[in-house]
Parts: sequence; structure tokens; C-alpha cells
Amino acid sequence: MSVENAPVVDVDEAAIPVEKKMYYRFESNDKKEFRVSELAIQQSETLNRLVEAMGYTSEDVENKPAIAIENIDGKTLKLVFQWCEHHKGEAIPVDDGSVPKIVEIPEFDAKLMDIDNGLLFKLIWAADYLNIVQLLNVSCKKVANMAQGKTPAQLRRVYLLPSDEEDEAAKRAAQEAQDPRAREVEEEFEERKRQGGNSFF
Amino acid sequence: MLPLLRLPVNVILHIIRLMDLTEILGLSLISKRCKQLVIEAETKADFLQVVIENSVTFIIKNSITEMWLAFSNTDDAPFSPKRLRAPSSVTISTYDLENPVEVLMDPWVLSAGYDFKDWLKHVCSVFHHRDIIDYVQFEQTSIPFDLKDIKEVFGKTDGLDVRHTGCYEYNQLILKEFLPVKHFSVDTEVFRDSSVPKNILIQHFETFIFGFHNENFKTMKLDDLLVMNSKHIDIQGLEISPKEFNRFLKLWIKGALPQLENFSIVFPNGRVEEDEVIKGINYQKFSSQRKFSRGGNEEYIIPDGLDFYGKDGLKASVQINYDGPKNYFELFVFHDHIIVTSEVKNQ
Repeated sequence: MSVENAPVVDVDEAAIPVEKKMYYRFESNDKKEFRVSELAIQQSETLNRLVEAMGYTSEDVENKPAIAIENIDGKTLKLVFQWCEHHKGEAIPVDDGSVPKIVEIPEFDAKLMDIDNGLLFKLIWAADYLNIVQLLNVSCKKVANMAQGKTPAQLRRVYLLPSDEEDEAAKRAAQEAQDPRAREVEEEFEERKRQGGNSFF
Repeated sequence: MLPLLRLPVNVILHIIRLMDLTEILGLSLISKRCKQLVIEAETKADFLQVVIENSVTFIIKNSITEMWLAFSNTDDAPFSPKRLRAPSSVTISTYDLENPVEVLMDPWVLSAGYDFKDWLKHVCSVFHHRDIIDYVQFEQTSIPFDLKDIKEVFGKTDGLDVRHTGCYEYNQLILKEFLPVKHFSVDTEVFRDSSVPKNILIQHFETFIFGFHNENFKTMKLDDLLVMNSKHIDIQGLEISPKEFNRFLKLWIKGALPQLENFSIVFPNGRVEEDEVIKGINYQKFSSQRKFSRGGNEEYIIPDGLDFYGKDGLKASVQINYDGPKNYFELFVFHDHIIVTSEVKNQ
């Protein structure tokens, strides 16, 4: 489905009284503070619901502590809010469940996401957590584009994908970490096998 | 590098849904876990075709992309017929259907022992395609495959498309092994005398297409048309005059081809006038656009038409399209099970 043709939830800027426009304060988990316009916040379903539930007045915003976003760092949150401010007032795409999906990355977004993959990874987590539909669309598209023209072996390297054997080994390790007795039992079993015993019990 | 599997599952699925068919196929081949994620992302293929020539090619299509998987073996034995063995590599090309540009990728080296049965099962599962191939197409080949092998692996097909393989005996074997099918497309050169045997014409195909790849041979005659039992007939190589087509319509009115739903023919040379075709038939000109649905995805737009009735009261419409020197004649029969909807009026 084309994003341009997607059904949209209209954000009616004109309907918001001028006196209600205000800037909320948010704080990242590394104590960086950001001031974000009410209209920009509407791009995030999570934050929009949060500020609605809090029912802050302009005075509250100034006098109360900044709203803490515990699991996102300042560098990531800066990108998130830059994106929200740039796209404030824009319609939010509604997923109609159709596949394949077509998403174009606008120039501004491409520049914003001209970052290392570590930060892109955090940006996607943040967009998902804050439920910013279009930011999630474009950031996921950027990750999907990394697969262009790649063979399976190249994809494995690009996305750091484990093989079946590595998945099995990781699963075993996780099980053993949960139950230390499992490793002891396995060692005992191997020892008995070496001694020629054909029954464990 | 970005650790894809460390993202939330809903995000991974979203990323997969933004990939094209090649990227999804590549991902599905990496591990069982990746294949499972691809299946959960529910990217569907609408069409699966297998082309048999000197090698085997899969064509997989969805609404925006067409992907060709051209398999090859590095060590094919030089004798005929050759056995269908696990391919050693695949060259993938894709076409954007809206903006037809071909993208050709470097060949992928494949795991040993992954044979065509495995490949067919794999693409059907990751692209949520039923385990029936839409079309098996035979093309010209220098060293043909053992047909028993082909039938065993690719025998579950709704459609068969046969072009001249280069050997009439092999053509006959293909027809013997694969017919009957729902949809049948065949070229004139497949038969030694360029005409389709009656025992094939009388078969009950949903769709019968004749001469799609080479319309220069005009070997089908009016008598051939009259023995056909197919619902949708598309003939490119037809040697009948407008006068004979007029006779065909009159015979339909009297009850010939009672199963016919849609019939399309080409008169390759010279402009044919409506009057010649409809002469002596009581008709009414219909100037509105109509949509003719045979079920599934088969929909046709009838811009206008000359409506008339069979003696059993069944309504039909004949429509003429001019495309340069060619004249396309189409007959639509409005059976009870056909959905016909009127669109906006043109006049």
C-alpha cells in the first residue's frame, strides 16, 4: 500500500486553540532535557496519550519536573523529537494490513537517519516504543534497503544472523544458564558413555 | 551491520514486509528461525510459473514485482534426456511491474542436495502460495529433461503452456503427460501440421489459448472452433474471414458452444467492419461500459458492444477493438454465474 494513498487520521491543527499550544518537557535516561511542541507530540501515540492523561497546564509544564522517558537516551531522543517537529501536523498513516508495503523515505528523513547502525537500531526501538508510525515506517525501510542486491551469505553478515547451528548452541547455552544441574547431568551422561555404559539410569 | 533479530518481533515482521521478493527469499534461506519469521510476515505470491527449457526457471509474482529464479547445474551430462537434479546455483532477476526495469543479481551458490522438490516446497511455504503451480511452460530446448522427472516434481499444475521444444515427439509426450489441465496454452508449431488435433480441441478447458507466442500461423478453421468445449477461448492464429465469424455467431445463437463464456480472436490484416460481423443478427448497440467477471481475478472491461440473444434466451455481446492493422473481436456471454456490472455511461 502506498503511504501517500494510505487512509489517514487527520491531525486538525486549526481545531487546536492557540492558547493551548505549548511545549512539553521530556527527559532522557541520561538526564538530557527536551522541549517539544504539543503538535509534534501528536506524532507519538504513546506520548500523546501520556500528556493527555497528565492533563498539564502551561504552568504545570514549567513548574513540574520534566516527563522522564526512562529507556531512551538523549542522542536517540533528540533524533526522535527532531523528526516529530519536522513532521508535526502531518497525517498519521493507518496500517490496513496489506502486504507488500511501499514506503518512500523523504529527503529530510534520509538525512536524519544518516547515522551509524547502532544509533539507527536505537531509533527503531524508540519509534516502536513511542508508537510513531511513520518514523517506524521510514526507519524500517532503511533497514530493509540494506538487503538490496545481497546474497543470503551477505544478508547473514549485514543483519548478523546466526545459522541453525549457532541458534541451537545459543538455545542450549540459555537452557544451561537457567538450570546449572542440566550441564552436570550432561557431563555425567557423556562420562558414562565414555565408560561404555549403555543406560543412563 | 545491524542485529536484525534483536529488534522486537513486530518490527522484524514490518521490515520483512518492506522487502522485495528477492530479499525475502534470501532471508528465508539463512536459517529455520529466519524462514519462520518470513512465513509470519505473510508476504504472498499471486502467481507461480515454472519454465522448462535447457534449465528450469521459476517465475514468482506479486502485485508489484516479478522475480525470475533461473537455476543451473555446472555439470550437466551431455546426453538426452537429462535427469532433473539438485541445482548448484541460481541467478535471480526482478522486474518492477509498474516501472519495468530489470535488476539482475550475481548468482547465488546453493546448498548441495536441495533439489527442485525442496525449492518448490520452500517458495510455496515462504510466499504462502498453494502447492499447485499456476503454469508449467515448456520452451525450446537442445537437451530435453526426462519428462517422468518433470512430471513427478512439477506435475501439480493448473496450467500448461507449450511452445515448440524443437522435437515433435517430445511435444507429444508433454501433452500426453500433462493433459488434461484447467488452463491450456499452445502454439501452432507444436504440431507437425500446425493444427491442433480434435481430441485436444474437444477437452473441457477453463481457458484455451492458441498461438499466443506466435500469431503469424493462421491455421485454426471455423470447423475447429465449433468442436471446442472451453469456457474462455483466445485465438491469435485464426484463418477465418469476418463472414465466417458472422456464421460462427449465428451458430452460437442456434446453440453451438453452449459452455462458452468469453471468446477472443484477432483478424490480423485489414479493417473489419462491424456490419460484416453482425449482418443478419438482431442486435442492439450498448454504449455503456460494463465489467464482466468470470470469478477470481478474471475481469474484463467491455467499453461498448453489440448485444444479441441466443435462442435459449442467453444474452451475449460482441465487441470490436482496433489496434493498428489488427482487429480484435471479443464475444462475451452473460451466463447466470457471470457477474456483469454497468459502469459510467459513455454516451
